Amino acid sequence: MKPDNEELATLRLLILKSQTESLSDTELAELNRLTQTDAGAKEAAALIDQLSAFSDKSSLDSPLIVKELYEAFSDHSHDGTLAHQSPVTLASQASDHDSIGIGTSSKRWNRYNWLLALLASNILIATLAWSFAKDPTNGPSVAEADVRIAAPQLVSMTACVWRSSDDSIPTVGSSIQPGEELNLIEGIAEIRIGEGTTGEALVRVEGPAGISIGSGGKLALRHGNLTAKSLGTGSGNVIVDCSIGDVLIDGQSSIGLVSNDTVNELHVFSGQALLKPSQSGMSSREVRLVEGEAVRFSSLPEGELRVVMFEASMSRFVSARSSGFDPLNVGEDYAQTILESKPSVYWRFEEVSRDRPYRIVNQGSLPNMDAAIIGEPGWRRYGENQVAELGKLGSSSAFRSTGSWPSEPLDEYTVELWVKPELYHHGEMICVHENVEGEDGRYPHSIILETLAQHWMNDLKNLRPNALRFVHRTPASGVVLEGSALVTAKPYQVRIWQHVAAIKNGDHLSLWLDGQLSAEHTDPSLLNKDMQIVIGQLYVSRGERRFIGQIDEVAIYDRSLSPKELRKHIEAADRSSSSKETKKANPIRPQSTSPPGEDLL
Amino acid sequence: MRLLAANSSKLMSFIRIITMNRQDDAEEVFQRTCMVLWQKFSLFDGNNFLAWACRIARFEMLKHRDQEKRVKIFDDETIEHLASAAFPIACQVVDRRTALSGCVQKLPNVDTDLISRRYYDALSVQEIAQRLGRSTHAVYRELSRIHGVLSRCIERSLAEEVL
Repeated sequence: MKPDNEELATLRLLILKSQTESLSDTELAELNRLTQTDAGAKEAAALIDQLSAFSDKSSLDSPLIVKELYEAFSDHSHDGTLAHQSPVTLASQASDHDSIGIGTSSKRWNRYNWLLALLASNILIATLAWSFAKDPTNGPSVAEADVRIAAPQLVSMTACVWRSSDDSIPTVGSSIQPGEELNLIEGIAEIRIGEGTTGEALVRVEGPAGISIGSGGKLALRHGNLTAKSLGTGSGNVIVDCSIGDVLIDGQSSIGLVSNDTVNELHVFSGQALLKPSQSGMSSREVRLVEGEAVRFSSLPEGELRVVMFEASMSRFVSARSSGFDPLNVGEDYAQTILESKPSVYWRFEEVSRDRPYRIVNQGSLPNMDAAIIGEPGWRRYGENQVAELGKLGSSSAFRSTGSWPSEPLDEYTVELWVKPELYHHGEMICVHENVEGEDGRYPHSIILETLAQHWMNDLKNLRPNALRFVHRTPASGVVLEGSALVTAKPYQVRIWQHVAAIKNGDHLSLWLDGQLSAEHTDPSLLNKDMQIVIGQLYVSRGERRFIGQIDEVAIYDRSLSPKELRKHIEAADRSSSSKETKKANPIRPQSTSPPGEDLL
Repeated sequence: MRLLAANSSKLMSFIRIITMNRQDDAEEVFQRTCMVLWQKFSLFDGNNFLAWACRIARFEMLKHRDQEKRVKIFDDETIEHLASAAFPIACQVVDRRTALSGCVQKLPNVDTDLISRRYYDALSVQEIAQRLGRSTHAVYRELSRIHGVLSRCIERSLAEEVL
């Protein structure tokens, strides 16, 4: 072993120290000098990589390592109590945004936390994968097709967690052999079947789901959801087996399949598909569906089967949605309805002022409360309606109020908006924070309305994943768990417009999702006055925890809206029909059970 | 885009090194990098996606830190050196993790005990110093020495694998 260089030892010491405390100017200069040598840079990178490993104690690529590290540690009990306690002790109070390094964050920046970023980005990638799929026009012609059927191949995975019976974890590029069964716990897996034949297709399995490969490479959906896009030609060359029979998909067609214990559905998004029932007792008649049609087979307690035809819905399938799906067509009638409720702030995002600062003019009653543009928000138009699109560029894209709100402490208020998250992520829809910046560049918050993602080891880990969170925090603070937090009873939907309302009425806080009460809390504290409103990020001055998706029709009131008013607003947006469709389709799914307090309107 | 999915853990490892393993910075830079990769994928020349992604990540990291008001630990020139050294390490992230777990097991008990207190029990250096009745500087010095031992052990393990 090479003797440890004294300078490298100093370099490591300074890096370790920098993780928990501030370095003096002299130490910073020394650290930079040492790192600017080849040996120093290599030493520094290797050390920080070690720190990453110790703060994860795991990685997606090598899940066994965490066990090995823990075992290595646990074998060395030092005082009889510490070695076997929980590996993570969360700080009881931690700031919303920790600017200190690993010293504090080692308690919070734990095993899987950094994977949230991967998850968020990969779900985004999933949206695109469909369009990046092989161009069917470039595929082999029918004449060129080989009669040998290639084994199905796993071509991409998005945040996939598998359950395997034999310790083998599927990897991208691997073939799935006949007889093999795969259980996807979560994530989206894309599988290419029938490559080089007229039966070539891209199948996207949405976890939780189970699939298997039969003889001849035929794909079977055991349970869960999948979508399939046929890339070949001809009639019925792509075959997917499910519990109700074989689904034969025509060339250049796309379908969705739902299969669980009691319900099976076939949706045809484009082209045609044929269902050949196989279940005994089921009508032997084949069902041919064309674009826009769907069929549902429901098992009744008496053992009978109910067959219902209905409209195909891409919204049932996460992997089939695109950002442009589900328009928000709100016009002047909607605006008039909102104005009748007398908002203090009403930002419609229809047009940007021509003078600087570029801003969205407030149509509510409060003067000097326009929404000034931060960075480069995008815009998307649905018919006559324009909405703001945030978080898709590398630079900031957000809005800040040009004035302060409210003018007096409030016992009642309502924050209302339409939102379409692009993906499951931790992002800020609306933040209300103090105007005075702290020394660290942060601001204490009074209201936070945000989308949550799965948090594994930080202070938000016990909150429902992929839900909306509304925080009312008086006194304003940057401490994560301070104040009253309300989390929606069910997850928000991605790439679907949803109506969100956060309401304080005296000591009663409530959070409403699509007109349904989703969470309640009691908090008598008043909302402090003279706050800064920010849309799309955590602080007015920094593009952090950015919201990714679309936002429209933000309205803020100095009073609580009644449920009746909320319903009127939603109906004014002409969303009642889609709500009905959702209600019509959802009751058959066990996971769509209404949480307590729903349907109060 | 599948290239990104296949390389995301290595890219994240690279970003964690150049952001000094700071959670929020790493997440922010990773998210920004993914966005830029998405937007500029048509400019990718088809050679070494990870190297291209890491170059963009380094640039995004520099932009991100310019917007921060915190004291900057590394100046831009140092970041350049660190990024150059981080790339080969990120490429080997899985092998390095495996080697690290083996190296931890080879440590003397007293060293494993200190590493365990610091990272497994998440005790601060100050807390460890108090419990051991030593100065914080002495604890830092010991941790520095052990990390040095682990680094050499990892390099040796990786070299042996190649042989």
